[in-house]
Amino acid sequence: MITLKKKLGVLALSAAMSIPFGSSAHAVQTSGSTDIKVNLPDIIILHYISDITLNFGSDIGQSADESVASWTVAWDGATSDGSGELAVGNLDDTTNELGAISNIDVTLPNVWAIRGLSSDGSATVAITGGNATLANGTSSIALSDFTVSGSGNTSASITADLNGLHKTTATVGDVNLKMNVSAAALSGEYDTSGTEYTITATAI
Amino acid sequence: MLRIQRQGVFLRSSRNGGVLRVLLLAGVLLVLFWPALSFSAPAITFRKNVTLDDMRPGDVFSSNSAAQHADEGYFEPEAGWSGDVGQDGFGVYDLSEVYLSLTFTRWVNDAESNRAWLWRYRQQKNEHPSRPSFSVSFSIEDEYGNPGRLSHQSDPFSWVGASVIDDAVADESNNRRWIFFGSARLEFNLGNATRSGLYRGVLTTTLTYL
Repeated sequence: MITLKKKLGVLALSAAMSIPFGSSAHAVQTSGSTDIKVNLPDIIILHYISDITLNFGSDIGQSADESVASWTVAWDGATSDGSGELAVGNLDDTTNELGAISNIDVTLPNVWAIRGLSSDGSATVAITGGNATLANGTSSIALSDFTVSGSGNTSASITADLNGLHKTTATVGDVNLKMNVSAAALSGEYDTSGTEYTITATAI
Repeated sequence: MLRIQRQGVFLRSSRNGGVLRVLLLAGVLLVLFWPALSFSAPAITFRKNVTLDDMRPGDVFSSNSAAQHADEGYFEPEAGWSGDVGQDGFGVYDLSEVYLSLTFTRWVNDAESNRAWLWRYRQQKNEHPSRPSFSVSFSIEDEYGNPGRLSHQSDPFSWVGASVIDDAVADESNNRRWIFFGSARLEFNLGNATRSGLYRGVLTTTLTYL
């Protein structure tokens, strides 16, 4: 039977045996884990061009050969007779013919860009401009149907990828519009003062 | 031989006296080996979680607005009468950088929710009379096991680089105990983050002490 005193004796002896002789300390490591959380806000960076001037070619001289015509002319010059007189309805087209002066579809490539952070990584990009008119005296060019293109979408309001903050991963997009030059009779600069479009980017 | 006989007599004579003798023996051993016993383990506690202060736009931009913009100047391309414009407004490498830095830092004790020390070391001075010496090291990984990053709560492909760039130890010892609190300063890199919201990871702190 093991008595209490024997137990205590064994305990004391065991304690003594387990204690290293001398006081040389050795390094001890203890590790612990901490869950770390940090919250990032929505951020949008919009790049835009504030001044756009489109130069439609240089001075162009166009000619059209309207074929052969013959007239009977009196020696007194008073009368003539024949066919092939030029009229608005029978003029031939020139090389750079504007046709029926219909709208010209213009795409301004890479004139806006977005980047940043949002909850799903994308943003809405919208353009407003209404029906703007560029004037040059009594002559004018009408602008309409503004849309934006980016991330494979084209509309007045699209969803585009933000792709983070780094500029090399930005989504770059186009602006599309229609120009009606049917009322443009003068060459020269058509005033842009007060005529603008606005692009707005909003985090989703 | 005589001593043993005496001991035997003693043990036979009194049960309580035997117990007392064993306790005395244990006491002698305790005194003899006190220097070694004095290296008893300190009480070390690690913070279970830390929610850092939210990142602010002002951490990386010159203003604190979340809506930044950059005027890239003018564009004067040649256009054809068919509407074609054979020139880009800009390329991505032409863009203004806008941000001042893609990194920001936080001390763990910046946390608003639980102004936190990261670890705490406590030890009785009578157990360890000399000032404890220790070193601290850190490692971070996200929930997918990727080292050096925190990942977005719903998109593993959106992550922020994370590293400990500084640490601090506060000594709040008193007459009876050594008490130290540890803190760390983390740097986050936003170069691979595409989403706003919560990013998570695990910071492992290792204390090595004598």
